[in-house]
Amino acid sequence: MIPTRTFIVAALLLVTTALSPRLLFAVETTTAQAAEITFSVTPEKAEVGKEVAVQFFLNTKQQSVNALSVEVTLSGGATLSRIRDGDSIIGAWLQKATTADPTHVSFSGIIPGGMVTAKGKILTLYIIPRESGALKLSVTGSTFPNDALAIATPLQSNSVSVQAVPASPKTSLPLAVVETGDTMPPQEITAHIYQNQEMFGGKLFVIMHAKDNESGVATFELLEIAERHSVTELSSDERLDWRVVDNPAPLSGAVGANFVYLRVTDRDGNATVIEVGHPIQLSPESTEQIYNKWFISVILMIVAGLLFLWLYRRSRT
Amino acid sequence: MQQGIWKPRLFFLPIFSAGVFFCFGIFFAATAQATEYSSASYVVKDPVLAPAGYATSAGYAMTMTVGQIAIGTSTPTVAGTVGETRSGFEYFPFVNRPTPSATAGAAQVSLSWTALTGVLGWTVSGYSVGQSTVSGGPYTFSAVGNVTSSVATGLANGTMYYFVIAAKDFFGNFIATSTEVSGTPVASAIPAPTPSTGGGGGGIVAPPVYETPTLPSIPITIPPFTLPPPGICRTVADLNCDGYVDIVDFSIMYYWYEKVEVPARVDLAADGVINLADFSVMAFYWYERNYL
Repeated sequence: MIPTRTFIVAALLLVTTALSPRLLFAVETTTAQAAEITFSVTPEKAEVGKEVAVQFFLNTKQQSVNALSVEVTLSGGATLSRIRDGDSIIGAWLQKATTADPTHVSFSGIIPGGMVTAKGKILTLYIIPRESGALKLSVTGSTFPNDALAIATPLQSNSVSVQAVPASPKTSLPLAVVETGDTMPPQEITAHIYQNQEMFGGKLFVIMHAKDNESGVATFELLEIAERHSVTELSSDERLDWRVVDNPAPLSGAVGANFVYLRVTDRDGNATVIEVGHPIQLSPESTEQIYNKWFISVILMIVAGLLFLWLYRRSRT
Repeated sequence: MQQGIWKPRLFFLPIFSAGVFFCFGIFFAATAQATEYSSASYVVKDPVLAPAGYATSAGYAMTMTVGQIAIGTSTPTVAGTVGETRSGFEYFPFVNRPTPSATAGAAQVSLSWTALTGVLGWTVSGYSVGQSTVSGGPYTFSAVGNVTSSVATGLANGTMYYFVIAAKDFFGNFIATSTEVSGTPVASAIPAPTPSTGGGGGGIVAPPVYETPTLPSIPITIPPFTLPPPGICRTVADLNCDGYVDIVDFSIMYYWYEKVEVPARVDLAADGVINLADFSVMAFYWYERNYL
């Protein structure tokens, strides 16, 4: 018979032991300084009807961060006109920022390998004040430390205000040009065809990637067509049956049925087309595998020999 | 009767012997017996496999050395005779030839070729594309780097162009040249703009190009996610088991983004759903190839 008090103490000890890593981590995360978003507004005083650029930066507060999720709320009378994210520290976007909702922008992505930065550029939002007065952009969100624990840390809440004044034809404020116009089409485009029985019902699909160091990649489009075309002319084509796709994207045709083209367009409308060609072999047979094959062959030969000897001896007796 | 039964079993004897010799060759190799041999065009005298001062350290161990190696040549000094005497084993550096293919487009020809493999001393450092409008050349060569495809642009539609691919060694010497391929650039098959009303007599529209689709050819098969990862998977985040954690793995995981009933291997955060937490784990393990 175990006394009740002893039983309770033992149970508490067990629970504490089981949860200790999480408890320790919780203590660490609360004591560590949370990362925050900082801003740069150009021009600081805006005119109604003219663009204001708000650049978003990440300050990781001396910690390595590898993932980020941000919600931006825009209050006051303004229109979200465009976004640039080509020179972002985000290496792969999970959710790209869009101008679909004029008062709310959300985005998330990863920083492969993690990063410690005091002013890592994330993106630039361009807003146009519709009326004079204060505009406010508030951000919330979370970051993930660069570890494999997958535990989010809330971002330090922050906001920025922009004072909009009525437009004056005489004393015009400088335009919100923080980056020059993007005339370079997307580059470093890779696209290969894959197949997996658990994805897209076993159909072929394309995995694609592109970089645009200025305005950022806006859309991926696929074209499956029976005849070959010039990629140069396809970059501005508006007649053929292009499909705007997400990555990865399933193919509708079978292998060899069509030529497949990928068109990548940046946020400023510059496009690059590539023909989705012969897939490269991503996994050349490793030396280790070759060694294993030889090793297994030798073992099999020895086993066969021993079997032979055993049968031979058995037949003799 | 007994012998009749044993005939099939004797089949295993050479296999067993080969296995035993293989093992001895690997684990007990030290000094090999020298054997002289000859043919109509050469004589090998007194070949020696000599054990030398074996070196060992914490990181490696040398168990055998092969001495007296000399580079060989396939050209005899005196035609038809053995006219050159050199000591040591001769070996012959070899590189195979690129196998090119050409696909014509509008004012361009896309070229691709097989990568060369050099053995015993020849390493391919890059390629040059030779171009000519005359079969057999002379060709104008342009270096294209260590790649296996290139596009010749700025070509005249309707003119046949001939190409060869030359492989270069470290010093830029041509060490192998492919057979010749050809292509005739043609005007694009994109429909011409609709003529405006009241226009003139209209121009000549190039006929559409209908080629046999050759691309895409072979998809890359991603191993099933329901099976345990094979040994070559680099980390838990290497979802396609290609030795890298890169945009391919990111895309695979994105397929299951915010879906339920995801494969356990994809759910890196093990919380039943694919969200930013899983991508954070992937970012931690990120290890990408240098594509360019």
